[in-house]
Amino acid sequence: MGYATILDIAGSILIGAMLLGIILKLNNTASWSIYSNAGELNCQTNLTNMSMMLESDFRKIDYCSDNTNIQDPANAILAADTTSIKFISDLNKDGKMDTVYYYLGPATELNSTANPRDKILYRIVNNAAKLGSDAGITRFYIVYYDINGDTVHTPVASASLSLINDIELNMNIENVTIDSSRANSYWRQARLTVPNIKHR
Amino acid sequence: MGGKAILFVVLGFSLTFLLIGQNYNRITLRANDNMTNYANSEISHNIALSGANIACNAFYIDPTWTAGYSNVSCQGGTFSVTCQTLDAVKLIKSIKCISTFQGFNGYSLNTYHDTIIVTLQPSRFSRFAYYSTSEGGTIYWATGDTVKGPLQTQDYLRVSGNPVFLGMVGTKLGVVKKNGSADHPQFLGGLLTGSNVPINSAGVSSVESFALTNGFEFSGHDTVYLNFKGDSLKYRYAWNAKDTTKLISAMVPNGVLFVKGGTARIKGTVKGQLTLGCSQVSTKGGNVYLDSSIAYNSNPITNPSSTDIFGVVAQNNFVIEDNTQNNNSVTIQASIYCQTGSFTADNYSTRGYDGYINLLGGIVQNVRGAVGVIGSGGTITNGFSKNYSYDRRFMFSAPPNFPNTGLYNVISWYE
Repeated sequence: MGYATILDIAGSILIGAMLLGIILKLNNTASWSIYSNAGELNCQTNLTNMSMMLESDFRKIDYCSDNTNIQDPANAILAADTTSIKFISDLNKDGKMDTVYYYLGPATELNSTANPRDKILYRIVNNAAKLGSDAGITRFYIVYYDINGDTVHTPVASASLSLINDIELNMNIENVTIDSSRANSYWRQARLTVPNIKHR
Repeated sequence: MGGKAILFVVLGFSLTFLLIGQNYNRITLRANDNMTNYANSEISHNIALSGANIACNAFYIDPTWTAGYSNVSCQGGTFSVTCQTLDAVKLIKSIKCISTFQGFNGYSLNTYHDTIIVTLQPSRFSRFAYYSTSEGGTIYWATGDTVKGPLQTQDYLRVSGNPVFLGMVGTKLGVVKKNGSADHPQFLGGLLTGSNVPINSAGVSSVESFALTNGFEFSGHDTVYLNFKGDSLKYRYAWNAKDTTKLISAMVPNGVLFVKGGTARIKGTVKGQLTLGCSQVSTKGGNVYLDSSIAYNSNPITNPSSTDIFGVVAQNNFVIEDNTQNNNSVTIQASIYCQTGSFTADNYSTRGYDGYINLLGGIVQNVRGAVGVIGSGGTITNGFSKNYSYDRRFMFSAPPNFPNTGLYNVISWYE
């Protein structure tokens, strides 16, 4: 075995190591990118699902399928605050009014996730157990407007609940698995019109 | 050998890049599909919303409209509208709009549908907390005045200072501010100028037709004294005559009582749903006098589920009698409709100060009437002070066969 052979072996090892390094680095980068992009996709999917659910519920405030059981629109919203709202609606179209309660839980409930900011948005219908999922919501707040477009200050006093005419919903969703601001989706329903409280 | 190895390396890298690229593409496509799906759903919803609004407008222009629409093009899709009568007696109708929109989601063309159902019922004058054809000269709504329900005037709405209107306000001729920009009326339920809801000139006669069908009509008496006693009614035709007592449900199955060509004098406690009509024949009658307070058996303020509802439909005036029973405040729980006259107090300018009119209901009058006189100190010196509350049940309920406005109200909107 001459110098040439040793040089070939050493060169092969060197080139092989470089190729292996490149492959490992490529694999690592690709995995991280896909992981990150999948997180963004999850954020986006959660955002569209949550927004469709919110829109569907909020548009039905004070709706009742039984026209003999329609409630006074002035009493349709039972409580309203920045991160919570309670209202009545015949959600399942059985002619009976249901009480729907949305509220945002504290961030401490989800200490186990990598993202320290995510919270659970709860939805409670009547006296059923509270339902909520970790969709990565980091901000959820509601702004209320009266008929003139002026803000109704929160928490809305009982006497002022009947003044609410339009609702603005804001929601921010981040990736729950990483603490990164990259996977961040924001949704705002600038003026959600609630048709059943219009004819007060 | 070296050439083959390089070829394998290139092929291996190519395969790896292809797999990674495919993963990227899949995620990107799914994200795109997700947003496209949301956008398509929103477009479909907007098409249905447009169709429902167009149909409501058609219904507003012609309340007999039942034709509907079929596959009308809108925003790249179509909508179809069907009209249906839900209750033939109460004339409750429904408009159903279904949208169709085809949009790409991924590589496939998907069809999106959305449905909006609007329920409408005839609008009754009892819905108004206050209505007038004429505001009776230059009477102003002033600071301290609060109207708690819908208001409509066919006249100018004259304001001074900061009156508060909690319900929707409609005025045909517009708003006149006595002090110009210094006046700040608060329209917390909205303001609609140019709103035209003329009084129903056939309101009294329509009530009479229902009284003749399955109600009860007093005819040929100058005056009918009606004393409501919950389930029963005591009536007589002269102040010193003997009362006749009847069970209201047997006497007026449809809840419509009518005094033709005479004066009705009322007092007592009303139970159930009842409308009292009063017409003028030749020059006689058409006025309803309040001899003493008239209230519900079950007060809806303390019992929101109360089903007691009372309406008075007078051809001319509703007058609070000047007598001892009414000289220390009166209670009126009803919706009052005065087709050609006013809601007023007898001798309002000469009687003493008689306390408050505690009204729960609404006042519909042709000409705004007076119930008291304001002295130089700004306080009421003669007649009554006003304590008017709107009975919010009238937003959706009405006394039996109370005159309608000829329009329909949306009572329910499903999206």
